Amino acid sequence: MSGTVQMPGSVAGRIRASAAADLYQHSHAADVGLSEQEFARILGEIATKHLPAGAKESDAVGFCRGLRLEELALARACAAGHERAWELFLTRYREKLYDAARSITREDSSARELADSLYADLYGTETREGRRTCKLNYYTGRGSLEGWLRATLAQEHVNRYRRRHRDVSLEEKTEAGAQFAAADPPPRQAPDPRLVEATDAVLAALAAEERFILASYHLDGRTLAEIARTLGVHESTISRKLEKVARAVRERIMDELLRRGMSRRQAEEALVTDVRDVAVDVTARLAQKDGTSAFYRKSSD
Amino acid sequence: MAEVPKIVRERLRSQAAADEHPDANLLSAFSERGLTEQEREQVLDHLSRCAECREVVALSALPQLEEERLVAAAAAGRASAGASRSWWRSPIVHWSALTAAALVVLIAVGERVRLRPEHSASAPAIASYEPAEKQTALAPATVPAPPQQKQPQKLAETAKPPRRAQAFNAPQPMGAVSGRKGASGDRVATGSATGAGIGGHNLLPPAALPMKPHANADAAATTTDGPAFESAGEQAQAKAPPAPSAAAKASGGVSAAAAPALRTEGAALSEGRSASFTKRAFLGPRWGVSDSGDLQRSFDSGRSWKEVTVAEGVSFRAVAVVANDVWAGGSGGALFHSADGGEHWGRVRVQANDRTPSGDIVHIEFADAQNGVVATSTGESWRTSDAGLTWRWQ
Repeated sequence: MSGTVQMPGSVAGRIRASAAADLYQHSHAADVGLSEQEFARILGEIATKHLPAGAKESDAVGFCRGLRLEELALARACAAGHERAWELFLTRYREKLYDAARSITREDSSARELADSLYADLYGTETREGRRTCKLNYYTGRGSLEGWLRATLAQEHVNRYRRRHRDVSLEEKTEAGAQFAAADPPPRQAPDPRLVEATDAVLAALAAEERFILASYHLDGRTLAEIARTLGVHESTISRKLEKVARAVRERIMDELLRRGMSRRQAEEALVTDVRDVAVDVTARLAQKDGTSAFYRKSSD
Repeated sequence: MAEVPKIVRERLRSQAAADEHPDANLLSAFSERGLTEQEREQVLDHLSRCAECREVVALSALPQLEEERLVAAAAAGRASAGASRSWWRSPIVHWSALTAAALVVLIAVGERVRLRPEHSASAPAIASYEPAEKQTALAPATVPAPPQQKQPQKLAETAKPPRRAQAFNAPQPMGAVSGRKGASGDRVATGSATGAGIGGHNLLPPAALPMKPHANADAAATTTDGPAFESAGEQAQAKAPPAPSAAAKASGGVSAAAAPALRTEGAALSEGRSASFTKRAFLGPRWGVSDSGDLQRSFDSGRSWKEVTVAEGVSFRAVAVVANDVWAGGSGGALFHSADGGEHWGRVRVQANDRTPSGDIVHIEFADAQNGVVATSTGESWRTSDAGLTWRWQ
């Protein structure tokens, strides 16, 4: 191949043929039946999706080099129906898929069901507009294929859990004792709006990682070790950060309350108010922030 | 841990994310530290407001042991660099030596004061040595009893430790402590590798190369490439002493896997190191395999043994111990690894390309945490230089 390779999409633009050939060679795509043109098209789609408009050729090449090229080639070759690719995929990932499902569901039969379901999606048993849709087409090589499989399994598991709980019939709820539920609690005392405003302001000013640590520990009940593993740091680091953020949040809320006209004693009393006395307008909070546009809807996956 | 006001929890909970979620590609790349700083911030911001995605990230996390192996593999390069430094230059060793020397002096002085009426003319050298021996010999009786063997744990349960149950400074088996502190240079190198890995910083891509993928996960995906790991492993192996035989059958139907460690310690002693290190090695658990194929552990120098359930349906035939790392193998080529002295186990896949062991694993030898060999009943030999992440068939 000579000159340049046209990668589809406005972002990737044109990259040197030598660089494209190098990427193709590193991916071992030929071993699983993908041609250089097919692979260039795939890289172009992914680069267009992730790189900003007007990205330089060097950025596109650097980005592509950062992808899991071999795993990407394998996944896309499977999606294209190449038999050799499926053999390799099954050899490398079948057991891992079931192991991951087992670690997610903690129960063998559910794990098998979950893994089989994903396997069917990966193989592409459904057709759309006359074409077989294969979930492996959504793998972009940003992380490892194994990690993507685990994340996809986990998403499916969470979706199933949500569907199952949404679809519980009234009879089942009755059997579960819902009719014996306590009567509605008496109306709560509205909290001082200054406390809510102050808290929201302080939380909004925290770094994303600090909010993540707070939420993981105080809302989800994750251990320090679990949070540390997620963030790739030692748990002593999380411990220190958690202590520091908790102290800072309290002090800053106090400052905010004082600035909003409360006395120190009033502020301290407000902070120890039982949260059951605080009516939270969740609906209003749902519209608090817009999500970033860099993400893709789960339905596309 | 400092608590936050309840209003903070409530407001945190009420912060809702938008309906657009990061896809599986971004979430897995986030978990593997493969995102750019800007992307990571965006994902973290979303995660801080989306309990559902936090759950997905937590559920899809690697089992702890497997991740530790990946981290260790990523740290292999630094470990080899660390091994090139003299281990005795480590500040940990310096402080340990100083503390040990101070303890010996204190004990010697105390003993001399106590024995003065009978041994007022004892030579200082003897007086300082005997109490140290006495103390280490008595140590087993004063060490708190090890925790009861846990109920059999399924492998899947190792993926997620019980919430809030994992102690921040979890007590380590005594053998692990003595093994790391008192071992020869290769063990110190292993310790530095593990220490670097625990911090996890090695997983972060270099700041100058934001798009660079993780070397560790690449190594996990490919079995033929990875010269960096290969050279690091070989370098470590060249520095390591000959691998001890760990699966020799001992009387009583168990193989004394602690013996190689003791022999290594003995070699260290012959080089003039402190005797207390050698004695403390006896305090660690011993591992063995019974005639019926059960993995067993002893906390009392082999006087009594307790069965350790690792996996159903596997008949164990070999076990090896290096500091806190325990390797056990058996029927059907099954190999298991524990990085925490046998508390949690993970299955290790021994394979190279499409090939897997054809028989039972009957022999395991690990020179350090990274470099080891397993042999099968069919005469195959499988070697790893990255703590079991990848294998070479011979």
